[in-house]
Amino acid sequence: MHRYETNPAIEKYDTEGKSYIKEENQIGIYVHIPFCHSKCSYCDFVSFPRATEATVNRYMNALFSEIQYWKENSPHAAVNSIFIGGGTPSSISPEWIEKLMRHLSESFSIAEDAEISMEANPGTLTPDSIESYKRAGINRISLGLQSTQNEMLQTIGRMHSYETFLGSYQWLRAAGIDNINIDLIFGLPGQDLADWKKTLNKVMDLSPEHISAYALKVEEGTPMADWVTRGLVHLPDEDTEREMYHFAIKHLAGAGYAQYELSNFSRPGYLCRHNLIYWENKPYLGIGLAAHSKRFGIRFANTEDINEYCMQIEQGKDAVVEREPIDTDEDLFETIMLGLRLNRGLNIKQIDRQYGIVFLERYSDILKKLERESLIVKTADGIALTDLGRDLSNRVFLSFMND
Amino acid sequence: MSSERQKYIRNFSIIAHIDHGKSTLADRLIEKTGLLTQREMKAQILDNMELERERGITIKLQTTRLVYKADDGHEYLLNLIDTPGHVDFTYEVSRSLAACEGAVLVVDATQGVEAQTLANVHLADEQGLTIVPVLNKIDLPSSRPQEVIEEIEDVINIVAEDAPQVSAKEGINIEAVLEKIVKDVPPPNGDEDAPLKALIFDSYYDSYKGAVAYVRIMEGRIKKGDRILMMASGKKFEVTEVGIFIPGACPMDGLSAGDVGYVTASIKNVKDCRVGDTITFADRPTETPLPGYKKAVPMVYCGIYPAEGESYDEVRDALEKLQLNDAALSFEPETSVALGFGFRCGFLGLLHLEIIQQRIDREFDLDIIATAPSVIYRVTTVNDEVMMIQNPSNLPDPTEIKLMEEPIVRANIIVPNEYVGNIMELCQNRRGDMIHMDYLDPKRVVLHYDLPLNEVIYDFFDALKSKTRGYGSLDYEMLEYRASDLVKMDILLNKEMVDAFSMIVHRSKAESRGRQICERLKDVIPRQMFVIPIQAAIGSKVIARETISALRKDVLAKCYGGDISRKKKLLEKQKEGKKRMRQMGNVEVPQQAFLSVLKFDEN
Repeated sequence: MHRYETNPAIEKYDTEGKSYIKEENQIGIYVHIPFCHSKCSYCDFVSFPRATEATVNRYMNALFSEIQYWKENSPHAAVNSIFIGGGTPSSISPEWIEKLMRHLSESFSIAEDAEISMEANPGTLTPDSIESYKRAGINRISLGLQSTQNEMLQTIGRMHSYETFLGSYQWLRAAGIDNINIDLIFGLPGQDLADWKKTLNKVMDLSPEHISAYALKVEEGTPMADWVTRGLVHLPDEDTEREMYHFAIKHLAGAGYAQYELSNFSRPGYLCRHNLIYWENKPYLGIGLAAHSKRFGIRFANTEDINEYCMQIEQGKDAVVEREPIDTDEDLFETIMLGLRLNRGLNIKQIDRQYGIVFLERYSDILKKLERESLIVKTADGIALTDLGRDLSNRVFLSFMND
Repeated sequence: MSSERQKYIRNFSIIAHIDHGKSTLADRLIEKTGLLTQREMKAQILDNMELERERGITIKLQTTRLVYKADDGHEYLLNLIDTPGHVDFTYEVSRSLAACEGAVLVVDATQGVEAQTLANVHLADEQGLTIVPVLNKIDLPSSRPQEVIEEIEDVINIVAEDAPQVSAKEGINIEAVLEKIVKDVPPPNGDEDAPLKALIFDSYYDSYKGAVAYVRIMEGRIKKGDRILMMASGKKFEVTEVGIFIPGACPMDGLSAGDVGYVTASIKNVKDCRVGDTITFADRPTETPLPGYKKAVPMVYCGIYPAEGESYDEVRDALEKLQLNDAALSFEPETSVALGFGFRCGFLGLLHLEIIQQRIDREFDLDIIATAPSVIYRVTTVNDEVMMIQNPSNLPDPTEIKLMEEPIVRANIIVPNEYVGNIMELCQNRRGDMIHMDYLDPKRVVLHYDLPLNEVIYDFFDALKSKTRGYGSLDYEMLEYRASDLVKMDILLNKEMVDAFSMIVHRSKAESRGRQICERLKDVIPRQMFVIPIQAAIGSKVIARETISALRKDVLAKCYGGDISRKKKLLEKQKEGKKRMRQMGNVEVPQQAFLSVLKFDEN
């Protein structure tokens, strides 16, 4: 019983209890695999290139124990999506993924039609490993391509070539994986609009179900940041970068990929359900190193230190190091900030009902100003960002932020 | 006629160009007179402020008494009154000199006569002091004593052939200086039985004793319990302590004509102990007060504001405390659109300004923002009303101005002759008028220029140093106000004038200054949702323009694997940044923008 005292989720559950049960009858699960073959120059996620077999072994076993821990220490909820991300989950032996999925399905009731995604890097996939993932229950693969130009891939430290990617893609299709996402990055060093068009065209020719197109963000402490500061690489200017973004939105729409979130595009019916959980501010459980969760009105996160993580879990504890209870106002802000990222925008009736407010009154001045600045528009059931609003979304979010 | 007691007193100062070794020589004199053992000597005893030691210059004058047994077998009391060594502190130098009969002039034997050497000699001459030249740094291989002696004789017109040749650093030939002082500096005189007449040449505030007056007794005697009158302020006090500095305060039974020491009288307000005032007896006053000094007139002004997180009251306290020791510092409250509540402070010059800023930082541990220095302009309106203006926003409408004048200084610049061209060009760019030019020796030239003070405070000294590879030296004194073609230049952001950016400039400088400011603003004002024109204008005429293009992107694209807190933190950081911005019309301007225009930083 004493374990309950250290469990952030349960604490909240116990004190404020029942009202949350209803909210949390469905969750998504994120599992972090912090290993990869090599670190890309722009990457600031928690990941370890070239980990030893022993490290992977210890970590994966800890991961399984954490799953067991949450099974025992959090209330039951149906799981409608699982996302195995990293790092590069496909960089470790596929048997680990099979084991992982076995542990998950033994511990949680995973919905029949759950979306089960895994990130994979071209070059780490083989026909055998794909079979293994299928056996594990993976039904959606997210492939990190980033660019179709090999020099560009080299610059940013990707291990694969475009040709390798093509091979991986075709194997996935041959194995019958019918839900594939391709991750792209624009605004890369030396990239121009023509390069970006080429990448987009080649990817569209493959007809994946989903495309993510992220604007490169140079994160502090990455090799890329260092190169930029030292003038070794040159990023396209802001105007060119926005041109790339606008081009992608238009061009992809023309090919049947509707933008549904700032950086995400899909064919009808193939929106990423897992990511929608984030944007809709719904509960999810993160398992593994540095994984983030939101449950029962609390955001909490595991340690980023792999030793600490393993030790905590091996001692039968959780590995949570940060916890932030989200009060109603904060939760409302998060719902706005996350929901506005979706092209369909906010459903005001739903917000009014959920938070007991009159949205249009509470924010009337802000809404007027944002409308005047052409950052938002009224929709049938609420508000949504305009094209300009998508470029300047932070300004919109900031105006809703409490002082 | 000196009394028998006075015959064995010498009151003197040491004057020198900066870095010629004044403080080091003072230390050696103290050492040689044996008041202190070698072990007790801190290096440079007289410079007791941390800052002074660091910069190697003396700011605040100090005084000390030395006991010296001369070759003639008599013991002499030597009162050494220290002087500040920089161009800004001319005023304090003259105060010290008024308490002396002689001045030891230290000249660096490797450098020769410099600009401040001349300025200080001039001051000593005005006070009628005997000048004792000393050649220092004689141990250095590059010293050229014979040439420097000739230079002193030619340029300063005093006999220098028997000047002691010393090395203060190595302690060489220090006795010769003491002997010279005893022989050449006249003893003080003044009737010891006359009514008290004492000059206050400095003061400081002690939290236990109240205001402490540094005095030179000119006539009469003073002791504990005497009822005294401050002749200028009219205030009366009872003396609680008299004493001398050795160099710490040492109480004595009394002081008599010819002595230098201190007086305390439970004076709560340092303003009642005004430097330059004459102390006499309340019951038996002297007939006429001493001439006193001209009040120190601030020449350079700047705004001092509490930086973020610092309080206005703390800054005011700091300025008040500094003022107790530094009568030349003036300040009054001021409000700025950009910087909030702060103070407009007056200084003797740029170095004085810089030292005050650093003392606030070090002694009070306060973060402050200092605006660019400015001078006071004299404006005569069409109604013949005369206004002294240092804040451009107080300038009347151009149609109401009959005449604008700016302060002009007379600058003496000494440079090696290969740099004369550079310096003439510099002075010309700074609107200088050359008065004349003298050769100090075959290799060095003195240039006499009249320069507008607002050009001198704007980076002039740095430019002089860089154009002469560090060999140029500068001294200046206030000359007069002269009519000048001055204009008020405004800066418009998105077509709206921003008061805090306005400045008074010479018409010929307006365009380049305007362009520079527009460029700087363009760099520091973040892009906003609309295009923002930045303009510099004189009246309605735009003289420079830049454009900040509209913000194109402000977005967090990445998903961060459900790490929503991270997204929020980034937004919160942005929000903090926004809070620090000032809304100017519909443009958000970061404080940094104000500083880039207002701050004393030319790069």
